[in-house]
Amino acid sequence: MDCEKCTEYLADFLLDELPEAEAVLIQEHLNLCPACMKAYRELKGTGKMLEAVPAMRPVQGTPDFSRAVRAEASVESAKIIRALPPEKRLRVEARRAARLTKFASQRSEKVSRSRVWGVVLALIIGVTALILIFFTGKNSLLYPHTQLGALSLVNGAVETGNASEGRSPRAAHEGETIYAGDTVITPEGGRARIDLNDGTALFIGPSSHVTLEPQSSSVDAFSISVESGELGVNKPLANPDKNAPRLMKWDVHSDLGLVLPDPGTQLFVNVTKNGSAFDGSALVVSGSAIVVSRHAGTEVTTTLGPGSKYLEGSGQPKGRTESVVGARVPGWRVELATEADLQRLFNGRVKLRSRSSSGVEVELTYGRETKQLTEDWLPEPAGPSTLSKRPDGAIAVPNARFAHIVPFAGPISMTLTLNRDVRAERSLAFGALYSPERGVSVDVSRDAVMQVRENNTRAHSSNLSARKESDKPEKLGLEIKTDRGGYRASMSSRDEKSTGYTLPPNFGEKPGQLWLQGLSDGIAMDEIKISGTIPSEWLSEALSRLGKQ
Amino acid sequence: MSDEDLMHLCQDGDEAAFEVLFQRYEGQALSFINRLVGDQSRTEALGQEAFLRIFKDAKSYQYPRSFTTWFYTIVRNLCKNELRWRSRHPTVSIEDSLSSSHGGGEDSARVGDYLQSAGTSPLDEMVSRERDQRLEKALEALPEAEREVLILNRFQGLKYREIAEVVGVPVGTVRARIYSALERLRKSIKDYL
Repeated sequence: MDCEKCTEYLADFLLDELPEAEAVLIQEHLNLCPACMKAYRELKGTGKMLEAVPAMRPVQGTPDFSRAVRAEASVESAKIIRALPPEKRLRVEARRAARLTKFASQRSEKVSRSRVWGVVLALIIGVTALILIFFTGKNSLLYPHTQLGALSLVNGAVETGNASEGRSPRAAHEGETIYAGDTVITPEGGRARIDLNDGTALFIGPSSHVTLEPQSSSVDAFSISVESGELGVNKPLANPDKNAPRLMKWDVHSDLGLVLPDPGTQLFVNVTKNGSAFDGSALVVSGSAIVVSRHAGTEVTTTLGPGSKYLEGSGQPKGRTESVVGARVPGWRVELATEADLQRLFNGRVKLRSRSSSGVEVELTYGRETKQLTEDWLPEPAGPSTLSKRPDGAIAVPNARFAHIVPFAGPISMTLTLNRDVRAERSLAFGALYSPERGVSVDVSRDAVMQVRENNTRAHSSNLSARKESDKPEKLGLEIKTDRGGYRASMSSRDEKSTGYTLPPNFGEKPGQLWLQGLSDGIAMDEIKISGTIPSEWLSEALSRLGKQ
Repeated sequence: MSDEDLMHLCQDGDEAAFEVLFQRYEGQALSFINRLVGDQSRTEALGQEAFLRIFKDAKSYQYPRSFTTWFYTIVRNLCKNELRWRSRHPTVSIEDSLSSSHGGGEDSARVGDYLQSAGTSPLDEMVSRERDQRLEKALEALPEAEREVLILNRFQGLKYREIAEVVGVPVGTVRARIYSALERLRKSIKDYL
């Protein structure tokens, strides 16, 4: 199966019109070819969106319609029956009575038959779910001083030590090499991140004690032992590139038992000690993992999928599994987001300024040198990312549509440098939107008019003398700063700055969104610059999504 | 009892058999008419005529041929007649002429204008409304031959073979028309996918 053939049959595949053998070939090709998969998803998305078109919605007849049809049908039926020979007319009546009785009994039979099939299907699914998946053996031993990775982030008074080498815990520092046998200890409120050599990221939460223990009988395997606290694991998919590092053999060991995440899994293990008792859980955010635990001397294996949480400990039945709706990485992991993580999330130039539990303060710059603008990093479902590049390198903003939407927690600033070719009559608006329920929006238009709306009513409007000279670059900016316990919005152009307007007290209670909207064709920018705090809630969700890709 | 058996009984004027067919096809037929003709005020009138044809045209049904394709052929022909009549007697809606005068520019809707949308975010509201409008326009702009096969397949759930029988063209043509229609629609909302 090649791409040309696949494209030819894509609609047939989508519409379930292909024989099974050919459908399997298409499915296999789609799994291997991202371009065809993209085309398929677009086609499927189009079909799905069609259902939302109001003119295509199903309609039902009114009672008047049904009455009219039945009345007229009765007349037409009588005409036909009248035209039948007398003996046939009698036969029709008799047949009709018999058929109606049979029809009723067939219906009830069908219902009970479908119930039996339902039970059989449930049994098959149950048995399949019980099939155990193999897991790697533990027949190896790491040589001492084997480098496993590096401590890439340290937050608080984190310590590292190595009991097997007699090295007692001492203050850790970012960039420190992590060897087999090393222990990382985080204090209350502290966190650390280890980047393993195979690309796996280990996030060690507050009050945690984690050791990378060599296994007893293997040359290349180790156990990540969680004595207490929280460990987040982001295990990448195997990289098919021959030169890429191969995934190492390791498992996560704790009082819960062994946890074996599959490649491409985000997992969080939490163990709280209470004397000799413990409470523990293993939550899979994306991917899958196996938990091997021991109950009454017997090994029990549990398979966890996305959103499955395995729980064990005091006051709970052994090995309980529950489903967590909307499972995602915990907020503390946001503090351990590296610049590389953010670069993966945002296309553009990201400058990381600071991290905190409420979010990550960044400076995002989209300019002529930004290569890719259309990556889907936007929060779902925020709309299309439709910025594009003009041949001269400027950023084109399409007409009447959301070009970019950035979640933020104030304070924030957004500055646009308009391309000098943009003529005066071309308009745009950009601004900040907060709390749709209580409704406050601040926007700045091309005419350098700032408007504040509260509950859909204009609360403020001010303007600067906008420059509209086609031969000079133009700048428009919106800044929302903290001011006496609240927020104040002001606007700026190339030569002027407004005094500002104090926003309603509810502004900033919850994270909001920044937006940019073209209101006519031909809008283009030389640069878009945004600085502010990306809220941890959104980042944690975005990081969860990133793991699922 | 199958649709075909019921229709066979209708050929002898069986009202009870008609009732079962009516219940099975009422929603489907009215939705199909409304989708194809796009005029709710005419939907029920055409629907009424379509169902009466079950008795009126009963002789043209050849048992045990598919009732679905026979009935859809009738409904489609009624809709085609309606559209043909309408194309010869065009009317202009006052609402349409008013809305077409509304242009873009600084007066265009901004995000802030959707603040009071209940339940969903104003951003989502505006994007989905714009996308649906664009898709609706693209759907209206499809050539009639493509539009009807797309509706028969995507919304009425008919297979290529059945559509070929209803429309009276080879299966290959149906396939090509559906693909072409989906491609046109995909292109029209590419930015939203």
